[in-house]
Amino acid sequence: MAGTGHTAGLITAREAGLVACRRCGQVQEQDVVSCPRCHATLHSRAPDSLQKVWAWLVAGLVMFIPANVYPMLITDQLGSHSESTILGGVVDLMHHHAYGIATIVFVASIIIPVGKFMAIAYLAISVQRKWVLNMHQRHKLFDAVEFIGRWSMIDVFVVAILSALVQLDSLASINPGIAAISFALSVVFTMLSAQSFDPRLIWDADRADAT
Amino acid sequence: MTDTPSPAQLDVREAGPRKRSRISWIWLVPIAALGVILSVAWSTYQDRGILIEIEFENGSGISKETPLKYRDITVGLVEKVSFADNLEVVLVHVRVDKDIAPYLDDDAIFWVVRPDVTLRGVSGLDTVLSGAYIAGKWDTEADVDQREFIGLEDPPLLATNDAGSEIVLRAPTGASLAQGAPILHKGLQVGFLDEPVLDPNGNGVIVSAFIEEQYARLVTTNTRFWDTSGFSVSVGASGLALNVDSIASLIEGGIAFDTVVSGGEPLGQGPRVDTFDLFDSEQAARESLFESPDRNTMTVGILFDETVNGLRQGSAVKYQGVNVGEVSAINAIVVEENGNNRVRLRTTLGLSPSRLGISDDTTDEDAMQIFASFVAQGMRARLVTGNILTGALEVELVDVENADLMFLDPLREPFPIIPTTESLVSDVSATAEGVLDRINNLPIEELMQGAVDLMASIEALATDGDLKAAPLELRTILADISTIIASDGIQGAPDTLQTSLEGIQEVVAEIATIVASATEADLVGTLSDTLNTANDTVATIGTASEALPDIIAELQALASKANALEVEALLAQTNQTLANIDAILVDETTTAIPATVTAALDEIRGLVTDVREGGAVENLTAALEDTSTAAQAISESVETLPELAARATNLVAQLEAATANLPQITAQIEQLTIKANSVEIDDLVAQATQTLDTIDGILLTEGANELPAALTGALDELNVFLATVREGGAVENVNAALAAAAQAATSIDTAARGLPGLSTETSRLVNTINAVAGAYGEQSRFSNDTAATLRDIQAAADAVTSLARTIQRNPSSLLTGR
Repeated sequence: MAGTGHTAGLITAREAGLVACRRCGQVQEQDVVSCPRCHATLHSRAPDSLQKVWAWLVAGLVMFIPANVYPMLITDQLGSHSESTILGGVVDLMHHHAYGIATIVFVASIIIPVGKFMAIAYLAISVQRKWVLNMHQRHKLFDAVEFIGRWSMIDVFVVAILSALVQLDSLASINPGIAAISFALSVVFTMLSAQSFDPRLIWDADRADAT
Repeated sequence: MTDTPSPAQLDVREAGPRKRSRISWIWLVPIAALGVILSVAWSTYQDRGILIEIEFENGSGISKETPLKYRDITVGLVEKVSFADNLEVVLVHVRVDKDIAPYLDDDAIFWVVRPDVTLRGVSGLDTVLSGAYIAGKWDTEADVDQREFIGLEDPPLLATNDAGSEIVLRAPTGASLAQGAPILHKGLQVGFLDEPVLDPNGNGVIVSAFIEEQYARLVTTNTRFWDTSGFSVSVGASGLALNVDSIASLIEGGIAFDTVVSGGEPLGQGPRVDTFDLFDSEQAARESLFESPDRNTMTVGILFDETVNGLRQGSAVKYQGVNVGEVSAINAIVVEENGNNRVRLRTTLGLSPSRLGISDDTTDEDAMQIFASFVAQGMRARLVTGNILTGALEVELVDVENADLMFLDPLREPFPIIPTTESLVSDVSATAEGVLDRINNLPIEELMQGAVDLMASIEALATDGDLKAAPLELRTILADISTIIASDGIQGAPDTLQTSLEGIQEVVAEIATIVASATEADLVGTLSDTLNTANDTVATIGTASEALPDIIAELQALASKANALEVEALLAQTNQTLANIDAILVDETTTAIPATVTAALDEIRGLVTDVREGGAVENLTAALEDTSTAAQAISESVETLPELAARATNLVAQLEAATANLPQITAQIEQLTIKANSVEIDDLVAQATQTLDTIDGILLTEGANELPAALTGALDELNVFLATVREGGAVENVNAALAAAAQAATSIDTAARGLPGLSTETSRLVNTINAVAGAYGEQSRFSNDTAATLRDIQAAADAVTSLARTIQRNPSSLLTGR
């Protein structure tokens, strides 16, 4: 069953003429516009969900480009001025044989954002194409993307903390570069994209397929 | 189930028609993001710098991200460091700020700044931590863009882009000069030196120097720079002084300058960088103030024959006491002379043309030509003593008069040689000792005494009565001479001669008559005997007459003797001789001659009478022949009479000569006066004293004192002599002789009227006597000579008076020689 996606013998809330409030969980009839308990707007499915997903995803991707091209950290140390991009930093760390830190930075700053882009795009495409396979895995993937999104800001946090701490005037100073803002925006847009995704759409394909 | 809870009131609306195709507003977000990113990218691209390429010998300290700084501000970053194709140079690619790039043109220079520690401080310390960086310098005008540059290995002098003036210093040696050495003015650093380099000729060192802008106005073309490096010790009246300028200049060297003379032009007026000479010491710098600083010296050589011990490098070269240069080197060279190689000492001089009067505008070649003309006009070099205590020598240029013509070859390599002349080197001790000795030996006291004595003597001489009497005496002499000329004896001489001639004529006529009568009477035989007797008689007369030449010879000897005698003696002897002549002339023998002749003629007359009476005519022819012979003998004897007259003439001439000695004496006095006048005190003082002594001695001798008296005496004697001449002298003697001759003639006339040849001879005698009278007629010449003598004596007296007056007026002139 799970492999085929068909859930025989089950009906959905929509099929039952009901709609659930996504905020407080109260179930109402389908025609009710707002939740009588928490006054949230009731939608059987999130409106324009996929459009929002794509839009945020594109914005996140766009911001991810300068985040990697422009320097993340601007370091002034006793007259020596250095600007390092994310990948440049990783390469530097590897040259200094700090492989662990290099791996962490690489995973957090490159692998995870790129993975999120790919995951969200996969989910959105699968919903649009009404794929019926691996619905459970897709839902788990969505959960993982939602969960991991908040940790994607580690780089930005590090840059923010360093910038705040290392301001020793001429001796040494670290300032965020354009890439830091870009990266933060990219993460935010990606999170919004993931949030815009309505996971119930994953399952709609099964019902439509059934009917 | 009645109380079944009813559902709450629900807000139920019909769902509107679904607009699936609606495009959400959410797409504005990625679009905006894209726009922002694109704008950022565009601006980044726009702000991107321009890549330039700098070549360096090595890339020490240069790496990627090494900054390029201008005025200590980063204006670019090294983007890439690579090698040129042939690995010869390092190419540094620098991304330069866009707004700076246009200023990078052909005057841009780049060098690498590294830490540098010198005595004056540490520079580039920041690069110890930050690493080296590339510094650049360029002007503030954007000319032609350039993208490829060649970097300098060492920082340029004006690394800091300070404003100021650059000058060039010329020094003989770079030993005390170092790059960065300070230029001090009154002890404060106002600039610094660049690295010294050899000048193109290798004769010296040139070094660029930088004067900071606020001090640049202190430097003019009249500024002199000197070396203050190290320390100097000077010993003076105030003791020992040690001068040290600053510790930095002590070790690293340094130069100072000062502008004492105003009027120089400020820096940067000419087309080229201002050039100054660097002097060894402040003193040397100040001594050179009147010389144009950027003037090349003229190098000439001298080959001295003598030792140059005492001459050293830096010794002065002087021309008429003015410093015109210095000895720049003394070295031995091999000179080829007459095919042999000889080692000669060559002294090299550096002459300053401007001090020799050669204009600054003259080129070096022309200056040398002018100098060569000096040499052609007699300029020579010689060694002179510069310091008599140390024996140091100097070279002096002198103009030698009448020098052998020598030329200086201006083109001779390596430089021309000046001909030399005799040196003027004196030994100190000998000279000083000699000077002292000479001063010590000056007979000042004697000199003064001698001068006093001389003046006294001259005064005595001038006031002597005899000297004053001299002109009067001379006048008397002249009056006497005049009287002689006007005397009756002289005046009567022609009359007497006339009478004599008439007498002789009568005698001749009578002789002619006698001869005629004898011829007629035909008394030849008788006459022959008579004539034989007459012949004997005539022979006797001849013998008697032969004594006359002896007398004449004696007279001659006497005359020559008198000629040889001194004036006084001569005069006296002449007087005596004349007296002798007088005596001879009045001698009975001489007087007796006519008497004897008369007697003989009387006898002849008697004989003739006898003949006339006896009629011995046949002997007459022989007798006549004998008579002719006798007449010839008489003629011969009479012929000696002209000789006598000639002797008398000679005597008079000798008198003249004796008189002529007077001018000589006068001339000698004059000479003496001239000599006294012309004695120069500059000659040895001792000689002056001696001369004065001599003059004094001469004047003090009795002879000199008596000179006027002697002159007077001589004149007196001359007077007496002339009076004697006038009274019983030669003229009357001659008159007497002529009278005697007349008597003789008369006697002959009486005795031998028939001898016509005798008259011819007598006529010659008369002519000779005429010549004697003519000789006396030359009285004008005699008086001329006397007048000249008088004038000479007058001149001598004037000179002596002048000398006396001069000495009286200014006794010191005897010492000073004026």
